Amino acid sequence: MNSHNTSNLLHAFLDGELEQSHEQPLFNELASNGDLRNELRELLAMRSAVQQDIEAFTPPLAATSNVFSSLGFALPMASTGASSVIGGAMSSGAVNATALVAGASWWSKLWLPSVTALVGAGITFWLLHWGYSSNLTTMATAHAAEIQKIRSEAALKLTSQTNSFRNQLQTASEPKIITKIEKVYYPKIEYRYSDRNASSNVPPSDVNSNTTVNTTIPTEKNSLIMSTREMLPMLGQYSMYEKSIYGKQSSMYFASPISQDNALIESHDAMTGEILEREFFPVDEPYYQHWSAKLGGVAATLASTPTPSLASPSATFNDLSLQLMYSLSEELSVGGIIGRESFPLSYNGMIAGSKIEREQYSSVFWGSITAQYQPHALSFFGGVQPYIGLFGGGSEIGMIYRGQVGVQYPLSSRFSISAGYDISGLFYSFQNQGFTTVKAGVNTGVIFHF
Amino acid sequence: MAKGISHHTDAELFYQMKEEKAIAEQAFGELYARHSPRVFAYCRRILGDRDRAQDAFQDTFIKFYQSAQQERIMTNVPAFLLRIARNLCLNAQRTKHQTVQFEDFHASMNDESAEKAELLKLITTALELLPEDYREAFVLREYDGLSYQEICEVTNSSMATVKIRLFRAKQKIREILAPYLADLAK
Repeated sequence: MNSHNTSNLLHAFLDGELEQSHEQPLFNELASNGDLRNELRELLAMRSAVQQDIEAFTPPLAATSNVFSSLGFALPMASTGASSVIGGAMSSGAVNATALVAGASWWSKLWLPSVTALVGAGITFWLLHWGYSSNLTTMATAHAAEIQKIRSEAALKLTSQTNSFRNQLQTASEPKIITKIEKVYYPKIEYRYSDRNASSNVPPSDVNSNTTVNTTIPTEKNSLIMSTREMLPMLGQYSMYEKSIYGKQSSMYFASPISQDNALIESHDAMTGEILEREFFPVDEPYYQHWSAKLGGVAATLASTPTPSLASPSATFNDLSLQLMYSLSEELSVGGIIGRESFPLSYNGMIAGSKIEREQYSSVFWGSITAQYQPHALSFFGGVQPYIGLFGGGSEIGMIYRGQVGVQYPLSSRFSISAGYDISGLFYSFQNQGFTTVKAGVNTGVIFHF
Repeated sequence: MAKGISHHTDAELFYQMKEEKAIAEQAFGELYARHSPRVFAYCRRILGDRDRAQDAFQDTFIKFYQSAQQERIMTNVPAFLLRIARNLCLNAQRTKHQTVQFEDFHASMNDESAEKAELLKLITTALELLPEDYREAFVLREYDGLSYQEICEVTNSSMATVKIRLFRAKQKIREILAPYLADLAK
């Protein structure tokens, strides 16, 4: 038997195509022919290597998705019959490693995180609202006697000072415009006047120029009052400046501290001392609810499990996100976000009877609903606002959760910038086994308010 | 009791793709799961370029589903699929020069994996150097697991031609990889 013939027999034997009658001669030749045995080893090594060609046997997830969406079909669920054959057998030991990741529809991936996030946002909002109202009521009740005492003292002082003020007005021998700067520091009240020439028809420069001032007779109607209201420094963040025609809108304010963060505010008519309004500070002022859009991005990935050993994918618009938020209050916003981001994936399974481990570094589209809480009490350096954000949603390959802690800084009334620390978890499955990628990094963003 | 979808034969599933959408969708999903790896392997190793392989792969399954809507007698689904894939790959080869890319290759990390991964890289490189008909025979046999007879059907070739191409393909790869295989076989 020549070497060409024996090689042919050997190839046919390995391919399962050799007739039985030719087997024994081949075996005899193998026993005596070292070169043939060597060829056998090489062919087996070659075949074994081919069977490890996982990349060739794994259609990209995008291709699978395209095929099914082109035909109007949903991706098959891992738990159903269709993909139970993901790891199914192939003839002659060829490898089946279709990475059909679990999840038939977006809804099946999104409903649980969506409901969770909505319920979480609802509970948070209710707790904050209930806690705030309850706290104020409790404090007002507990300090009722103290407040009453302060109020009485303040009323006496007010009466005295308004009488004095009124006397000055009524006994004035010359026409004057009265500019009053009212500063309220508990328990002190200051008044300051400035006389002006009776012949001048020009109002003070910082008074509304549309106001016509008759300086002939110093009555309530032609006297201008400017008042600045500044609350106790320890209460912070609250000040008001008002201009008005004296006698119509003039008022004075007393702040009676209840605690470090709360006070009872009473406004009095400057002339009569009548109490015009009472309110608690911080005042539950109407908040201008608004939308905001944030263009964000992953500035750096600091750590991840698994650690990527492959090059980062070079997809267009990678590691970017667009977030749309609606502010329910000054401190709480809810909304949604879509983005595309790189995640290192590592999973394993059984293929052709042997265990395989596989790594990918994939760029996946993701979306989620989100809630953001930014406690004003923690604001510092004139407007740097800390925030915490929670995200729950889905991606092309499985559920995604994310948490962010960071700060925002307003550049103007319309634009802010943000930077923060970010931890995300991506959950996916292969051959009905679940796998997780956890990633931590730094994110940045530009926010437009409208 | 009705048997589960995974117990249906390829031919039964093929005919089910003509029925109402829910049944057709399930049948298609099952056939896709069964045969997509070998179809992709064919496209990937014949065309070399991953993007073009992906296009041909997608078109193969879309045409496959469309063809199931016509009256047709089906005896061998994988061979039918590979015939569609083959035609699409031939078209792709005509329209573009072949390029060699191993951009996202990453092998398993088992024991011996590094050595096998190295060999696999060499084999795929050697495949690119083979004449197209040799490469096709090798891929259909070693990657897709087709018998000689099935390769004849897919390529419209005689048994003798298939045997020769297959034998020469393996020998050529052995020649190209001779130094490496000699070390490995020791």
